[in-house]
Amino acid sequence: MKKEWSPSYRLGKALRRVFKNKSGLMAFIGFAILVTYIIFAVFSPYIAPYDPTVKSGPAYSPPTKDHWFGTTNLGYDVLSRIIYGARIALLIAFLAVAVAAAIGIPLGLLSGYIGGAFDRILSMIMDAIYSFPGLILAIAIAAVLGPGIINVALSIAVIYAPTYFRVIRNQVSSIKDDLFVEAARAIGARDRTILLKYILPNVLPSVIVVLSMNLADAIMTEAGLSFLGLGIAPPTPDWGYDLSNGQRYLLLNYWWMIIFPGMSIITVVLGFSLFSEGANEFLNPNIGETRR
Amino acid sequence: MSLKWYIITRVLMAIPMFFILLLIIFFVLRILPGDPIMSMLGGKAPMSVIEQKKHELGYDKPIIEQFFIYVGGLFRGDLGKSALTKRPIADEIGRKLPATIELTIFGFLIALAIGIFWGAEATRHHNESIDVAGRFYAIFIYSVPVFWLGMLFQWFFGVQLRWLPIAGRISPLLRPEQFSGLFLFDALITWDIPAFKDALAHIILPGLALGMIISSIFLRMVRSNMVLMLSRDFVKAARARGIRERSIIYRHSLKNAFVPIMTVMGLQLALLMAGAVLTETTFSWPGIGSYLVEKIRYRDFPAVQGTIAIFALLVVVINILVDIINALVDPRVRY
Repeated sequence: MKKEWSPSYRLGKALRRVFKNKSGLMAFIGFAILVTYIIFAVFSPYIAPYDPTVKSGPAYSPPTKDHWFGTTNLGYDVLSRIIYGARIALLIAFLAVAVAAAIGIPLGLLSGYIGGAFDRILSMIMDAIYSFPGLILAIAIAAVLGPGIINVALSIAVIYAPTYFRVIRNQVSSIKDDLFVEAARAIGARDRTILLKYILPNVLPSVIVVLSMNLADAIMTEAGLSFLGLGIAPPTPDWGYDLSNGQRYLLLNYWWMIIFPGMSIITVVLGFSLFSEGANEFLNPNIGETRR
Repeated sequence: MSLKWYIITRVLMAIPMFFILLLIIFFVLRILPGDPIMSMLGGKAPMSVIEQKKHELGYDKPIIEQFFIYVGGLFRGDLGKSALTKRPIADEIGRKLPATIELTIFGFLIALAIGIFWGAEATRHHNESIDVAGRFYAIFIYSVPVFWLGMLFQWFFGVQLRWLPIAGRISPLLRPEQFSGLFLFDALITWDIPAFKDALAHIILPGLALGMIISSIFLRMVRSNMVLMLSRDFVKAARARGIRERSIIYRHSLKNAFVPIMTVMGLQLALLMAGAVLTETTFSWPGIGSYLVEKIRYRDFPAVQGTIAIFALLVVVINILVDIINALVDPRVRY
């Protein structure tokens, strides 16, 4: 067998290409962080040393051999709460972004394709939502809907839907008069076919980077909502709630109750942004410097 | 187009946007499942009490009529009465608003200082340690929740070092005479030095937390725009004339990069306000952000709706101001 065909050679070549520049390394580090947290989320009962909602030691214990990250006011193990907390954070983020994309992409397609008054009105609504501080809108929606995974995910989804709408709509309206679309129309393709088979595959790739960036923002927003008491009902482990709980004991110098949940939010958000940043520069090298 | 006409059209264009925002807020708070009246009164209220409360708040009228009553009141500066305190919401918000404005301006200035200075130095020393550090700082800070940074400051500077107060706006006895409601400004014009010092001590931690979070975006913006500027001909010409590098960076490039920077900074004000809600809650800062959170906790929906409408108004006004300033700085924008 020729050397070029062996899997290990090809893997090595691909890896060399990935690490040739810094953005590849960035994407890889981000990816590694994300995989860690996804493993935490999926296998939390096997990884976490204790049940996160059961008193497992003395209350207010600083980090010790038995409780690496200390315990909370109720004697819950902070490390276990962080590992289980990845579940809520990732679940809500993925759900929110999926719903946002499911609303934004079809509306963007239709709006860009149909054009006219429909497009103008829809764009105006989406721009209005887009310009409004997302967290504040999410606070309002979450306050009305009440706590719960689905409700929090929905309130976050509403504020990110316009991002997808704008990206898709602008691309569709710029390519809908291209030659290949006209050709499809000339051979008698129906609008539905043109939209789904010709236009959609051409505009979908631009969403991928937005997707990964939105996941980071969604985790931030979720943490903010639960910090304000609008997230999941306690005692379900949730990083944002744990932080607001920890803040009450700040004056007593129980630093471990805030440092560790905060670090987990930071690392997972960092993971998503490193990944999207690296992937973005890696996929379209010429955007690099000018983005944002 | 003259500047006057530009401003007039810009303001007119903002009206439908404000209207749509109001409509969305109204829709969210009134039509979504989850009855505000029920959650206000708790689950077990008798039917007659619910009906009476609905009537009291005007919730028994057709929804469209309610919306127009609401918008009409809004334009007269009437946001209705709080369901909890029975006081006019506009008054309550008016009393809280200066605190938020003060915090937001302070945070914005800190972000501006960090962003412009570090961004410019990073451009000047492209790919040197200050530039690389700046890029790391920007990515890292972007991932930090503002309330966590605030708590960290509270713990370190307040609890450990005992340097600065960690909650509130001013010590009760030092409250300066009020003109604008911005304590720093009021204390300064009445030359009330103890009050100024106290207000400054209180605003440093929340302002720094808020400012640092936003500064990451400013830093990236300034850096990427100035890197573009440095490849322009006028920079080459300036270099050829032997002008010092520092002057090229700060006087030539920065000035020209300012229009795109201004626009993005204006857009970031929305982010700054969202951050203000979290920062105010963290530091018990008595602004409209913590007011909003408190009203949500007590299920006072008329007040929640009023506060969010004020946020919408602020967003629209800020957007207009940014565009007008842009038009002033760069005449090309007007066409």
